[in-house]
Amino acid sequence: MSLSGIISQDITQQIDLPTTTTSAREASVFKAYQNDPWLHGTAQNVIDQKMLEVDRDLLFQILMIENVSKSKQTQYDDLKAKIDPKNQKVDRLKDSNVKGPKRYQMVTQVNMEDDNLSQRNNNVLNDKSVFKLAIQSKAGDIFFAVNTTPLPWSSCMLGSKITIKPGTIFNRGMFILKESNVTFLGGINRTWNENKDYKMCDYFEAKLDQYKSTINNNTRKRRAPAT
Amino acid sequence: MKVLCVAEKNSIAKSVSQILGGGRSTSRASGYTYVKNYDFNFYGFPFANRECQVTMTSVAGHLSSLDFDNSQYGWGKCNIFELFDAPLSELMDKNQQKIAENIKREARNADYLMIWTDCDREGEYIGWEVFQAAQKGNRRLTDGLVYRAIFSHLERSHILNAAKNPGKLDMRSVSAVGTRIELDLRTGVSFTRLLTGTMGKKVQEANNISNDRSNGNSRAGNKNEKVIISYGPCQFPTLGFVVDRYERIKHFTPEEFWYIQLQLNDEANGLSTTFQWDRGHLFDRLSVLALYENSLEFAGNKAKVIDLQSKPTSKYRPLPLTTVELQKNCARYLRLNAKQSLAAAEKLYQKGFLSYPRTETDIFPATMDLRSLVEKQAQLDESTNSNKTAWASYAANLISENPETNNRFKFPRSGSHDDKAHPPIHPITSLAPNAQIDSIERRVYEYVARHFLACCSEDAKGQTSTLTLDWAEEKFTASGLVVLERNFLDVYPWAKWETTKQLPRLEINQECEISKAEMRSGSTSPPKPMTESELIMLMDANGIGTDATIAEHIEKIKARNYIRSEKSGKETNLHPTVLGIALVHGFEAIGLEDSFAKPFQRREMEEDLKKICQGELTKREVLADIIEKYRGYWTKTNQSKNTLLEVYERLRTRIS
Repeated sequence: MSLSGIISQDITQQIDLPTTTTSAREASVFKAYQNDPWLHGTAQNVIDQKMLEVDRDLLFQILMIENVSKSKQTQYDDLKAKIDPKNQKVDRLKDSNVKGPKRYQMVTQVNMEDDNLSQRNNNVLNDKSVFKLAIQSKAGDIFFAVNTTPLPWSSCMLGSKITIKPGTIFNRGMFILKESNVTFLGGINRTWNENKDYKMCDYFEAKLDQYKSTINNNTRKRRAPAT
Repeated sequence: MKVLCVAEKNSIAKSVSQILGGGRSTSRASGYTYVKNYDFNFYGFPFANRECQVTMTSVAGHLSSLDFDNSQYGWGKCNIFELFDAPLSELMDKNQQKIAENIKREARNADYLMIWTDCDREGEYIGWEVFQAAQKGNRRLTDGLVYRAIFSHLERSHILNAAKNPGKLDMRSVSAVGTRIELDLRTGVSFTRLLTGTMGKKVQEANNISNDRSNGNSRAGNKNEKVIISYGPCQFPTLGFVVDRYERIKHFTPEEFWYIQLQLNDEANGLSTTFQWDRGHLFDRLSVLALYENSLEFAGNKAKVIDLQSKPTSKYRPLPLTTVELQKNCARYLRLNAKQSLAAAEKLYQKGFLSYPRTETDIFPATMDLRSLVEKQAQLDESTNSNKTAWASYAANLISENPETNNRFKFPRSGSHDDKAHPPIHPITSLAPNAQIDSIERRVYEYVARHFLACCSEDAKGQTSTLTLDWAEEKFTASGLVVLERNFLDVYPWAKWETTKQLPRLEINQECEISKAEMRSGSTSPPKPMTESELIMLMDANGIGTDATIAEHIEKIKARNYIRSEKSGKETNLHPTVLGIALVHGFEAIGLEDSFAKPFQRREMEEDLKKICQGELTKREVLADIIEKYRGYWTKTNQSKNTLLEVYERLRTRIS
């Protein structure tokens, strides 16, 4: 199994590494793979693990990336508009990143205070965006990671591999990533990426439904007689 | 040699004849009260090469309208589907007949016809209508003898130049407008009849019930009033904006977010400053908690000043006033709806107080004497001191040589729109307290005058300071503003720009103690209901209607009871009615290939019209293509009448 073999494969499956390596990069990835997986077997109380420092290279595969700087509703609307531009809502107030055929592009935001109408729809991805990554070790344990500096690969394919370097802080189940303490290796898991937009839509919809039912339950609880 | 000139409105004819006639034009009646004929002599037309006797007259907008023959294609007299290719004829109402008769009469002895309608697509079409009318009176007036004045405003040298360098009527633009008129008619009438036939009775019954319940005080209309459920290619997308907003509010789910906030207390002067997180807020509690604890662990209650910026800043004076801006701002600042403000501006124009209020232009021509217009607002004559308006002394200061003020007359900023027909809206003469105008007109005049003076002023000047703290690599900022010169703000009370709280005195790289570092939470709130000013902007931005018709479309869907306006505090909100929602949802359920309630179809048609103007498509091709699509939509809708009714019934039961 070569380096490309590792990055294109689900690392929770058995991988046989070769005895010799062809480059320093390959050697470091193999080492990260071979190192003991992070906090294996302590998954239940991972949330109580405060401010641990990573002491070895760790290999992970990315299961999901979510922009937590934007609301789920906004991301859901953007995806819906991308999937079905003809029926997108046309009164939108939030910035949009929709890239659709020109005829369906909408002016969805008008700044009432701004005289300069050419500056509509600020579609530039905000550099300060924070992404929450769900990552998985070879042992199958799932952790989160959050970036504190912009990560150039934040729109990567699911199944991509990363190595997290020693010195990285792990707090309450979450690695705190900077560009300097993580190496992006690329890779893909085809099945995970199939119909990704639809899956994300379903995810956002389910989350919003969940919020809604929580609110409804709370409201109901408040209304219940205090007997 | 005789030349007949025809403008789009009497005011233009009057102004142009005064310029071309050197102030020596005489006016006479035309047979229609609001149009006059102006006679004068002019030397300078390139086609005549001698002094000409000129008669300048005008129309009053379009000279004819297109319609079906009522005896054969009237309501209930034909199969609706036939309307997609039934013959059309040009009709004139009584006033249009009087105007056309005048043109016919005046053309009888004319050697040349010169069109002075507005230089836009609609103006080109009206010019062609004028040519048709003139030809009826004088068959000798062929294409070669018809010229077209190309002008964008009524400044003297510009008008003289237009008279000396005429062009020809652009028949492609005429075709484009002809296409639009025919499409609007065929699609509008066929779908209005279908919708009214399908839903009219049901809606009437529902209205009667709601009228009975409310003892006739319902908004739903009079019991005996026949319900018309109209379709219009601009009406439906206008309704779509309002319904989409309603849906967004109705289905809104609040989402919780979290953020970090720092507070610094300066005990020496009792100053407390809040620093906001550079990341704003995040929709994930765990992420914020991890970052918060990380900073707390590594930096404790110490933060470092990493950036300190102080720079001059300006608040820009407004751009010259267009119709859409006028309507938008009158809605926001004066709480007048688009129809009220435009109607008031039209009246003020007719009474000579304001310039022509239908314009898309936000650039004043460089040659225009704006200083003299400011002088008029100042009313410098001491004897009329008591008649001065509230903003007269501001205007006087603007043109004074007072060395104590930096706010002197400055030529307005230029926007990026020029409709080549009219300058931005501006006051013409000042307003005496006893002027014969109503209170709404007075408020609109004041707004236009103040806006104009603000345009001719200096920007407001200030100094902003921004202090950035680093708390274990997380950045936090606080900003402050000191307004140094208010300038245009003094005459434009609607723009808010105030000095804020002072920032603490800290130096770069200074370590400071944080008094409070908090992780806080909040939740998203639903969008506000659509306001009229927002709707105007959305329509304008998405190409639904023009500056002149946007207000009509909004009024039409109010009159049809698709939306209703409701005062809520200072705002007037627009809400869709059951019928309005049912129409949008009904068509969604039918599933036409292109939704009627979205702006895309209209925009596509606009693109086709542009192609006609550029010679890439013909009227016949565009008509054939779009009519074919509408035939398909009509057949599908006709087969799905029950869907429309079911959706209406369902919504009515649920909502009422």
